[in-house]
Amino acid sequence: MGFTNLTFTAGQKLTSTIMAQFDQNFDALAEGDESGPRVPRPKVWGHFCGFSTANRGIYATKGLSSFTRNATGAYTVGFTTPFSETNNVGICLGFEHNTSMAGDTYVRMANVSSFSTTEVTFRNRKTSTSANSDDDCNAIFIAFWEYTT
Amino acid sequence: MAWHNIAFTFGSTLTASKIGGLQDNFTALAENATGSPTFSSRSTKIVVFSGNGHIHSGAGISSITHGATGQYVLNVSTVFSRGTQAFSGPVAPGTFYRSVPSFVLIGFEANVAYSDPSVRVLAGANATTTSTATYQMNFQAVNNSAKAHEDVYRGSVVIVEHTD
Repeated sequence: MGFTNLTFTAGQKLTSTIMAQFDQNFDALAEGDESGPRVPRPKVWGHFCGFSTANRGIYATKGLSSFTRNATGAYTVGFTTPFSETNNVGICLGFEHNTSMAGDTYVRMANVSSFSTTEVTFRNRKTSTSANSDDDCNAIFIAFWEYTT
Repeated sequence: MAWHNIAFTFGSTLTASKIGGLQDNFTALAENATGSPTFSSRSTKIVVFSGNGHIHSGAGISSITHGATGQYVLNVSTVFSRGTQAFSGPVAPGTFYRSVPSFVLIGFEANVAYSDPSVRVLAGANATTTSTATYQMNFQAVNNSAKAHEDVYRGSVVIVEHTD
């Protein structure tokens, strides 16, 4: 739903069309429509699983359209609508591993590996004092914040 | 754009100025103008930056000081508020001060080969207790045989400050 820039002048008739547009501007603002003023908040977000089993895939999202498990610890997700460019987009993520709280000897980290206007790839690894390897995530939680002036 | 506090009373004329003010309030609300209601959980500072400290885009971060490799100091346009934090435990009893973003979300892009063995972390470095005017961070890579600071390929930081 688009945002309508309305101007008012003295003596102007307030038509039902104008008032409907005015009302729709609330929707446009709430929906983050790009034609209107934007509140800085995530534009795209999602939660996906990177396992090789049937559990893999997107579980919850706004704006993610596809998921591909490229290899162990390597994933690609596509956007429903491409970003106009990448340098205005902040990406924050959290992740979850299928490990016990106690006893896990590894440090693990998921991060963005590459980012284009149409898709983003992730890379997840683990390391300990004696070994490194690729690692699958039980869940990655991702949010894309687009800030444009 | 400024926020208009508009009051309507029974029998008053709905002027172009008043309804124009209402229209302006859409933008003022989005921009968090003084006096406007604050969108809960909106970010108040956000920055996307490259490894040399160049700011690609952002708001509320005036500059980034890139010191040694992997070390970044975010200089904020408006200082964080300063809150007290009282410890009562045996480790560090006493009262301490902490600059108080409600929360900080950090992300990064490491443009390395899939076969690269290291785990990497971009994190705040004693940031909330050092200064109310800065947020300092470091980026490190570690594997089973080495640890080193690196310059991040692209970092992003989203800060939310709310007291409500």
